[in-house]
Amino acid sequence: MKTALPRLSLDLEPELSSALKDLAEAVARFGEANGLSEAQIHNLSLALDELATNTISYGFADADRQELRVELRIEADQVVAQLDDSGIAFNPFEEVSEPDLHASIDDRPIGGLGVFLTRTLFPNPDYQRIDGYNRITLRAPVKGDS
Amino acid sequence: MATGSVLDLTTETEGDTTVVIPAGRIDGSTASPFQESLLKLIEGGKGSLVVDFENIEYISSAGLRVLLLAAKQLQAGGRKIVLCAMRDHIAEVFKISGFSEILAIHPTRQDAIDAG
Repeated sequence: MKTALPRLSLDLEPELSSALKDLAEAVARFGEANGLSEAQIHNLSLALDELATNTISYGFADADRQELRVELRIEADQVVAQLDDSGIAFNPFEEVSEPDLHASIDDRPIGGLGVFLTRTLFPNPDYQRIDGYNRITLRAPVKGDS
Repeated sequence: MATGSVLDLTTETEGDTTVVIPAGRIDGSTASPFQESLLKLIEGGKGSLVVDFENIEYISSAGLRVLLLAAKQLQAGGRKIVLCAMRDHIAEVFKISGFSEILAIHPTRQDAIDAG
């Protein structure tokens, strides 16, 4: 029997390659410890990757203040993923427009998909600006291995 | 599970078709070397490009973006990109994003080569 890990929080480096590696490892460790299904671990990993990638690539205007922290926790029957960053105030769920999913190869613009994938996998994401930090919270019912 | 940011890439040719077999994770940190490799292969080849996903364990929107760019480049030259052998959770990402409507995806490498 694995030890339960009801809460995991981790500071990510503001460098894409190590941040994504640490993030993927943390999500896998948390997911496995809590018996989440492989599909749910993947979805958490993907959504947090998309959000963290945007923050690291575009969010940090001040080189001396690049804080990015992920927290994963189980609350009752929900898995909760929270991402806090010290970047410029930015609500991706309001400020990024929906891609046209039915455009042809030629008409389909490059990019704009990450936020859409996140919102599709985790409907009703929450955004707050708190004391100079962006906070995004994703929730989903726990799906275990069956 | 390997979670490093290294993307290995092997290539084979089958007639005019180039088959590329990347391995690992295609994310924001590996997408740009992946893009460079694909564009080089497209430039150096003349037939279709098959991308075999058998050894890909993960793809994010950064990787989808590279495939779309490759598809546009190929289409401009009257050529096409054909994908194959995706794991279920990867196929789901293509489905959600609408990419399975615009890119050909086959179950096996041979099917992809035959379609190319």
